[in-house]
Amino acid sequence: MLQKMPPDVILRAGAGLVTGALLILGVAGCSRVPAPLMELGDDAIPGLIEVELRAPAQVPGTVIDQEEQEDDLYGDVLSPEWSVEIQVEPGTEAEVLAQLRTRPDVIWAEPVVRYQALWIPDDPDFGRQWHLKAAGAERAWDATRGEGVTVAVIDTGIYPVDDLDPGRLVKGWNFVGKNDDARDDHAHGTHVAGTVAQSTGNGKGVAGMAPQARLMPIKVLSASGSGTSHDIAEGVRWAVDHGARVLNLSLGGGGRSLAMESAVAYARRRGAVVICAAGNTGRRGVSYPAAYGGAFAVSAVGPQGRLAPYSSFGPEISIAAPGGDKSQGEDAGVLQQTLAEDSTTESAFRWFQGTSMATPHVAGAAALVMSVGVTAPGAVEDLLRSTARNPPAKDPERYGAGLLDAAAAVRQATLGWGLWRLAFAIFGAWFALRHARGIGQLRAREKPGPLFWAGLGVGAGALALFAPVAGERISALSFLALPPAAWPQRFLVPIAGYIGWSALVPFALALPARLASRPLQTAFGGLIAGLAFGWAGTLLHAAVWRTVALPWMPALLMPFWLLASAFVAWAVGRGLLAREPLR
Amino acid sequence: MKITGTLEFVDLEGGLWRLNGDDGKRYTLLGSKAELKSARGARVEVEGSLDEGIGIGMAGPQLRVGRIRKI
Repeated sequence: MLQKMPPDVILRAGAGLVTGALLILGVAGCSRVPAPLMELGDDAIPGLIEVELRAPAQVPGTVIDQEEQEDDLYGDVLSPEWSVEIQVEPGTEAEVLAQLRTRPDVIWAEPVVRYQALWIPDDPDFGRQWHLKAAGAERAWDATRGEGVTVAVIDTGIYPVDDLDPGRLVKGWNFVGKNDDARDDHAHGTHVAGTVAQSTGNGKGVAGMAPQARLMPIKVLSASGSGTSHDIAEGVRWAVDHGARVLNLSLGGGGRSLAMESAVAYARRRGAVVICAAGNTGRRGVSYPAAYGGAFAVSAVGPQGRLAPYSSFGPEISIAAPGGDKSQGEDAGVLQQTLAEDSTTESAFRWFQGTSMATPHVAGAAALVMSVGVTAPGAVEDLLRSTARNPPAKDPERYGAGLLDAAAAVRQATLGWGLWRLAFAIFGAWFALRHARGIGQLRAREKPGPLFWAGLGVGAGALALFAPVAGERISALSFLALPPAAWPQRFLVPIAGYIGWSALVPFALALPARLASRPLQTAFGGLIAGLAFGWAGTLLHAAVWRTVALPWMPALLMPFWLLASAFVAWAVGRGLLAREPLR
Repeated sequence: MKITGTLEFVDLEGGLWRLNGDDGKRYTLLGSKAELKSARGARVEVEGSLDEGIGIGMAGPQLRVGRIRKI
């Protein structure tokens, strides 16, 4: 018998959903139970203490950094606090901390601790690669190492040095010699390729930004390091047509070429990000192709994050990344394996500097972001820009949006956007449940079970929370960092891989669940319904944030396709809530 | 074309040869490394052609060296 739902039941269901949402968000760290305060331990940096004061006041030791905190922990912007970092005699930290904690003007005091990434590679010279840490690679590797993305290095070629995994070098092309031998005969391209994806965690040599990404060698520059606009434009188009989604162009010149400009536009239209070096004049004026509209121009900074003296700058700069500054010493350069000096067969680990060295840090970061399911070039670029760290000076002509932080970009694409997907999915589920109860298709006591919520979480990509731990142990589990809508892209051939960005998968799963016998329907109907709502949340997020590009679909149509697909996925979930036997 | 200036090795992009021309311009030189090395730091006259191409230097026009002599 049909019965209208009493309003208090709907309210209770709503409250239950909100509580569930908060619980899930809590897992993600938004409502964590406060952990005990930091105490002195192995991770503490000797002699360093951080103190928060109600007002500027005398503190023991030497003040090495202090700032007014307006956006403090309590949101009390009307009475800002003072955050002070002090250096005390190592060994006296416990005594100083105890003394500080008794003072009424001290809000809190704690040792400064070193945070470590879950996965630290065992490459012996990784410790000397300050530039990878500065670019945020280490912490990004907890979620992804660039699996499933092809980066084209459009340069002097790539020589298969022993610290590059030959299994990740895909077929390229030599536009100088007009053949398929795209090996490097200069050293520049191999160095650049190393920064993108040097073999990492292999107990040998050094590391790269996106070590699991595939490298595509496109040789457009001769042994002298120069080439033509024609070959470069051809190389860009060839790379995109053969599956590269990140293009690294550590090259440039002062002349504007329409052939190159249209090749860059073509690449972007086909879903590739085009990362280009700003140039090495040390003056205002960004070189081409970096200065083209569709390119992502990179300036170079040294170890302190200040613009390197050789780096070109100008209004076209998108971001700054470590390119080395050897005026501070040899080891302030960028260290990778490449060809030894004056050799075309022997390899060596060499320190280079230049905006060419800054560029592959960004290309690697783009590959990391793309490997967690963000495939629209605009979304990748926005993500890299919006998560960039503050530069030493607010100067967009020199630093663009700021200093590259790959970890922050990956965190935003997984955790930050994951929470939005969940929120959309939960709202969709709540609305569908309310509707089903409103028209009597679901009884008040029929509450969604754990399988429903599990399906919803999986569909919305909540498994990404396990990616750091799972991926650290078994790299084959790295796909967990992706929402399921992006899983087919990882495992299927390119065209079939895009089926995830539609309602096809939830629809295909819902059919058997709907037609199955009653016990099976009870067991799996909820799971698939939850999955469909999660999928709808993911598709809706992709439509709103415009994170996905499909090669055959014009970018303008894409949000509409995703919106329509999200609605169909939601309707699939809603359909599974309708239980005919109840009618 | 002939350009005179001072030849220097610049530690950029793995190593570039630069001619600081008497005309106030900086040219990235493309040519035989052995020949360029032998004239490092010297005042030179370079005969060659301005290259239209693009390269790793990104620090000014490229001059493809035909002949180089110390002056």
